[in-house]
Amino acid sequence: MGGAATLRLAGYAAFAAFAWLAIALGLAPVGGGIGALPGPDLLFCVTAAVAARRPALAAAPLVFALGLARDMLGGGAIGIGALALTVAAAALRAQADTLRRRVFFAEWGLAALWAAATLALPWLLLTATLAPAPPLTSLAGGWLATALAYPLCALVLRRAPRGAKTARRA
Amino acid sequence: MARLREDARDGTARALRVAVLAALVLLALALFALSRVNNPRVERLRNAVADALAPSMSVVAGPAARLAEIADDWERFNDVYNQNRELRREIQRLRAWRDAAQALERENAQLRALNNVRLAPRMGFATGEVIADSGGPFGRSALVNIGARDGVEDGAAVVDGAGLVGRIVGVGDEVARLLLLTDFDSRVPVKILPSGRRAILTGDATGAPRLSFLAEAEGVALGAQIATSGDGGVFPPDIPVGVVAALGARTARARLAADYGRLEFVRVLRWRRPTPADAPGDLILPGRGAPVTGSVE
Repeated sequence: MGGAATLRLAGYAAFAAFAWLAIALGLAPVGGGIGALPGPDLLFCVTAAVAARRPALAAAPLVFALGLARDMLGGGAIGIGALALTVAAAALRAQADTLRRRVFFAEWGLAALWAAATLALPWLLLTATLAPAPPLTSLAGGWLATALAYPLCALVLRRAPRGAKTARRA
Repeated sequence: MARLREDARDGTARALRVAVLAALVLLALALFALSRVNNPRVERLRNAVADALAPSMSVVAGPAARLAEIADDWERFNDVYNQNRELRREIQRLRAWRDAAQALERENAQLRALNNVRLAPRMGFATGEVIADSGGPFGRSALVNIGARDGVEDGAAVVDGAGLVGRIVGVGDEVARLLLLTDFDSRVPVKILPSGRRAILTGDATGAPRLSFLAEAEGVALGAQIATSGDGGVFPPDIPVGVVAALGARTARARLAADYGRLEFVRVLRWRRPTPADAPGDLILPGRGAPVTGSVE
């Protein structure tokens, strides 16, 4: 196995490890309770940051598997969370080259836009299939928390070991 | 020439990526459709995944819960004097309740002795720790670290120290999924005390679930106790649920007794509906599950 392939595998593993940590933290029962402020979607933040900065690592099957794992553990309808995450990651991947040439605020804005889409898409699917869905206004808190958490996630991932840096263009 | 070859390779790679993405979208939609119709295979897959991943969830949930506790304790530390005074008052009130309860217990024992009543314990329970919650706006559920091997069954009622929390909707070997009363899919038949009026407690992702099908509000007052009615035979009757918190012309809402903000340990009840023996065949009882780890009367 060549050095580039090893680095790429290490990059996938690092992304999966961060994403798993994000899933576990997001699902950890830390006294959120009802009426508490909604938490950020950490898995989206990690995935979006990787898709925008290391697009080669945000492979669609891997992102889908992570989204599906979260859907399975989190309860509710299976598949829609994974679908929304995969589509958002693919869109950010496609914009990665453009984003690299722009300031961070452009990346942040686009990530916030796709964070809204990952909430709206499941809502639309649930509503279209006549399943009970929360009012759109109640999703705003979660979206805001996710949008605010994104820069922090991006910073953490920037500081993380860059084993996969060379795999960016692979 | 080399440039052309590279372009062709890029084009193929892009087409492959699009094809994979399309396949994943279709797979996601198929899984969504199957889960919407409660396909048992999808549910089994979900339970298997939860079983496999739960241990690593606990590894993260433990330290995260400790950190949250520390933050919580720090917040309370500032308020410790007031809390102490409030606790002293509470102790006084509870002492009065304890005396009343002891008197009632004695009276109850005497009456039972007079009637020669024998109570068969029909309810067992298994206590588990909440290791994950749904963490999203589209559902209100949690994972508990006990499962089929602890005797947990689908549909079992789950309580905390104060009242009903929800019911079990999926059972793996080592974990079970708990659907909270606040989830959109939660429906629990309840009665309002003391009138005994029936209603259905309907979750709608708010902290105060609706009381649906409450025929008339007569005999129902704000603050009235709500308990499970036992209708339908899924839940045992008389489990405290909460109190009536809002009473409008068209809708009533309940404030739940269970402390959802501090849902740490829960008790999964193992209860069998009393089966009257109306015919000789009815005497054959269904098979028992795993041994009971605790019991209540």
